[in-house]
Amino acid sequence: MSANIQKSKGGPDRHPVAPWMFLAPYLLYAAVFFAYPLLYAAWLSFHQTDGPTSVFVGFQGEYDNFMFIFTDPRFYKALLNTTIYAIASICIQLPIALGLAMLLNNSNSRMKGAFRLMIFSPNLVGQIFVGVMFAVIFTPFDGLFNKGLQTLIGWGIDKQWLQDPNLLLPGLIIISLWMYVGYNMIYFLAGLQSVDKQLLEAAQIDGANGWQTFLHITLPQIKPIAIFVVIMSTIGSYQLFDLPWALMKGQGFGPGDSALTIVGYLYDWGFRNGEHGAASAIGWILAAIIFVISILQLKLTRAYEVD
Amino acid sequence: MRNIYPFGKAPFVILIIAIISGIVFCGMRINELRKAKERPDLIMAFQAEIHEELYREAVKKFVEDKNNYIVDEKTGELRPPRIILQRVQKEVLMDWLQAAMQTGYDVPDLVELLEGTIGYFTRGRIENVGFVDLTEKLRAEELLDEKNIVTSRYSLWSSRGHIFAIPHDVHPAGLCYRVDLIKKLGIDVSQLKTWDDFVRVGQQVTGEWEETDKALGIEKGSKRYMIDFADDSTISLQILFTQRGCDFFDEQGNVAFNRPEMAELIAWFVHQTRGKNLISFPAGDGQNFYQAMNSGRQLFFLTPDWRSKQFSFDNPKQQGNLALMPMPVWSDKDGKILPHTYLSGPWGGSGLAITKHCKNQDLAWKFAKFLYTDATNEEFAYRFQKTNILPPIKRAWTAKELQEPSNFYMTMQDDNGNLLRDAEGNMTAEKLSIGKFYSSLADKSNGVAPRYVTAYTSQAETQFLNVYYAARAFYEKHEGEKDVDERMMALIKEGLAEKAAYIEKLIRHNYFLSAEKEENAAAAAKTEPAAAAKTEPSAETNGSTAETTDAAVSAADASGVY
Amino acid sequence: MNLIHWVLIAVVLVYIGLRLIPGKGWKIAPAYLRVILLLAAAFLTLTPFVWLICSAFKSKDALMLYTFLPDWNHLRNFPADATHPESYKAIVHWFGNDGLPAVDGALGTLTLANFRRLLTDQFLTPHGPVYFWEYIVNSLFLSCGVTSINIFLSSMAGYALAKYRFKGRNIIVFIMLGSMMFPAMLFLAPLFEMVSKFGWMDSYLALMVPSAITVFGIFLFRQAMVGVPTSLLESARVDGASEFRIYWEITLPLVRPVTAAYCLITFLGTWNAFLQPQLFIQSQSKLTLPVVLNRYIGMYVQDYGIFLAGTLLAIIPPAILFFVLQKEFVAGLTSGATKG
Repeated sequence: MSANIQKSKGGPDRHPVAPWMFLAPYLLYAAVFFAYPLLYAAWLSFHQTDGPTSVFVGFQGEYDNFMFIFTDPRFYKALLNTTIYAIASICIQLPIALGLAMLLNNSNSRMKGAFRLMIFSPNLVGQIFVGVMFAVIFTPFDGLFNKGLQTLIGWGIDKQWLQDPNLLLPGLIIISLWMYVGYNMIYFLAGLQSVDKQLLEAAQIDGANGWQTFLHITLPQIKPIAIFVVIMSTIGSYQLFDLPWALMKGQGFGPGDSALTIVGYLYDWGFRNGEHGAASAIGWILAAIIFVISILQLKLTRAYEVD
Repeated sequence: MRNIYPFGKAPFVILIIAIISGIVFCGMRINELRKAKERPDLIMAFQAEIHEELYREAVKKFVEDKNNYIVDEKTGELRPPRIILQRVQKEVLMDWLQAAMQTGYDVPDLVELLEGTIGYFTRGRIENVGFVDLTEKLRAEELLDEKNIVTSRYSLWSSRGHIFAIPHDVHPAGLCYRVDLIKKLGIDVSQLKTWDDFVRVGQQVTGEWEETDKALGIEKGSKRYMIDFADDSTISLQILFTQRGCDFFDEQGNVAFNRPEMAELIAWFVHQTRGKNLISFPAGDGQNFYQAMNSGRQLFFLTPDWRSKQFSFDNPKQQGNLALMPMPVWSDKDGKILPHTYLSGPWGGSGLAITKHCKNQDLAWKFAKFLYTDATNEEFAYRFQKTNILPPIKRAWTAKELQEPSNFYMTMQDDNGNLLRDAEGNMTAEKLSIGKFYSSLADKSNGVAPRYVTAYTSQAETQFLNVYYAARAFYEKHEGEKDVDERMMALIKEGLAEKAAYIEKLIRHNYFLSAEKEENAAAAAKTEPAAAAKTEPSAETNGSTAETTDAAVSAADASGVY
Repeated sequence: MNLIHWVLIAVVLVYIGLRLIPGKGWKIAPAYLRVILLLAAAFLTLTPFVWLICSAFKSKDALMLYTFLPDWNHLRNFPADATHPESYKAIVHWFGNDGLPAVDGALGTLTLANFRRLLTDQFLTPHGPVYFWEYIVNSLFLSCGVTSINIFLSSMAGYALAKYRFKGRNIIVFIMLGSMMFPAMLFLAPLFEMVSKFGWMDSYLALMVPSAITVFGIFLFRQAMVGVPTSLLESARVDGASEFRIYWEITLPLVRPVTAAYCLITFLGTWNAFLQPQLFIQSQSKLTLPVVLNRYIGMYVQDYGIFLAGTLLAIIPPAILFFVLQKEFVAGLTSGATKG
């Protein structure tokens, strides 16, 4: 192997070929499985198909896919459901994950490992399995959840979590709480480990109580991880499909579309109505929404930069 | 390890497992390839497990019959055809068909479709439907004649007057109940002839358990309900409204649920499922359902023929204790059955379709007839014994296996509908002939309701249910106030009109359907100017809702369904 | 007021008691509270699993009769046979109705029937019957295969982004970020067409190639590799190593935790995937576990017992993997994220 004689610190062009070789598989993959489908989907969103034939519908009044979607109450219902779910994920699930992480952080290592395993374990079960399991657990009268509620707080034996349009989304949130709180907890655990212990001790000496320590020292120090988790959580929430679909066993999206998410709406158009044009349009619209929200989140968190 | 596989120990193990399982995997595939013989002449895809054994026998017989020999392409000689039955998992079947039809790759020749699935394939122009139009073939065999077959079953498999599959079954729904509970409660089932009667008795019966129920193994502290209506899907609703003579769509695929009868039905359903006078609570499915049945939580269950087999198979401890009776009918104040209504609504169905990709169309049609319509009465009887499923071919109903009494099901009424009594005058039950029972529902012209399916049926279901939910929520909030029924009815009518308009908008959005309608109207206008004016489509302009609704209703009347 | 309420009250009282005791008691109180809360969380998390295990062993008619296991107390009041009052005692059958051990009570039975049916159920196809072990092989092959390929290709791309500065790097990162915003479902329909055009329909190529690289993995590796000191690489270059050898022999071993974490994630994702296998695979003998288990719960066939037994079996490989990789998983996952 000929030695690389140039020992200079070198600029960006020292290895002109190497990075591209390493990136080659990804570039090939992206071209075939990312760029092409995306462009095809974009093209498709302006057409309607009937088997092999497709017709350009562009912006022609009633045939226009985009126009229909934007005037469709179901689209807005899906948007609402997904947004509520995302907000609940961030405002309910993440604080609990953080709380658990803080509890776990101060424990000794044997307990820590055991609890970490236990709380993370729901993540090992696939969404489809979780969906069916909880379809049975949420049965009114006989199901585990209702019986448990009744024993604990004397209410809820006949609540139809999966059939009541007002209870379906809360049910979904509970299930996803069970599934993902462990996953997020692990991220927070790592973040907490990087909190400067000296600052914490200094705060204690100064007489700050638990809450103040948390607010002014812990929270700012875990900001990078928290931002990461929030953004990942948001993107994941907006792409929710498997869980509600499995919960409903593939038969629709719940009473009154109460489990309809945007991706569910996409699936409905593409694989129920057979209109892949409209489905592609929805996909692009969703990407735009996620993009905007991510930008907003980044800007907002920058705005709260603590010195 | 560090030098061989840098990723780590566990990834290394994963790699090993991948390689080993990969070898096994390839081995399995090679084995399959070796077993596969030459390309079969016909591939039939289906999903029901029970049909596996039943059809296998039939295929053997078909292939042995010399009349069915075909000319081999290569040798030019006659030989038995090679027919393969491919059972596919239900979800996989639909996905496969959708993908295959779209790309033209690996399409099966015959497909046994499930109820409601034909809609997807008829979402475009009639010419582009991937299945062969069987209408004329069936007419030639006199299979469109009511004396030979239950013709209302074609509704499930047709679109705009073209039939794409042969129906497999009739599936009329009856009511199933527990004899011991009915006896104990002293309910005279022969008096449950109309829905009004049923609701009246139901309101008396629904309520808290009594102490004496414990002896029957009924959970204390639970409520009892008259019937099990599903209130989160259209399963029960569709049986009821088809029996009532309404449906989402008419024969031509136009929206047809914006009608006063439908509104009344929704209001009626709200009263039965909510409020102080409800008579129904859903029993769920699977194990939950049998739990409910065995603990007596509901007294009556909607039961088509296939479900009766399920009960006897899954819940054997109820043998001799379950009875079947016809559904109550919709009647006027004097108890007479309303016109344009039916004795029973259907639940489910399968049909056999031939795909256009099939290369041996004649052979496929021959085989389809052999399997479905030309099967001998013995064959139909054999299948009936395994599945309880009533075939739509009427001559098969005379087979003795369909007429003989069942070992599992009873009845408390005689053939005229009168209550059976024993020597002491107490209510009693005797064995029921399942075949006789279900065929009595299907035999008459107003027997089993038709059910039209289009590409937008599932969307219509969702929208329709929303109207029900809104009405139900309204009723729960305002029950007991005066005028609550009128206000709810107004709400329902408004909701139905709105949802009907939505579905119509959805249909209009479909370029191909609209274009086809236009072309048909234009062609009709050339031949019959007067008729064209009545059915003029509103595809070009943003037609007003009222106009479309009127057209839909008039088309519905004209199609003679009601 | 039942047993559970009394337990809760007792727990709260102990805590209050500890807080009131000065000195040692007061110090233990926070630790006590912490343990209690964690136990509560663990309890809530594990209850569905306990339920799952119990349900997998219950017979069909007993599934909804008891929340967890058949209630022996109940049995005592309702003997199976009124003429033999002692018959409430649980009877262990070493050979139950189906030849397998079963425990019988008056109502409800614990059996291995669900597992037996699951493992011996045949699906008849033109090529012969398909057994349960074949699905496991399929799932293993798919998951392990995809994982092995994925960690290789993703780490390569991550290495390129981490350790080289070159023109166009930012554009590529931007593209990658953008690609994460599109829902996977959007690609499904075009993927359909491509798969059938390539002739990959009903083949594992359709499942493995589109999952060969993921952007999440690339970023994870990139993050981890940024932490590898460049000086190491430089000295290797001076020694004359090729770029690939530097990547393979120096960088990769140093990011083992991240690799382990990503392995687990990819394995989990592929093992539990059901949409793509259902869409692209038609031959029954090639289906994977999740798709197959789905077949026991449809509109006309409901056998939750078997499905839950299958779920239990399906959890075992991921559980084993997680157990083995626990520490590395946590370390790897979070090292990638701490740098935001």
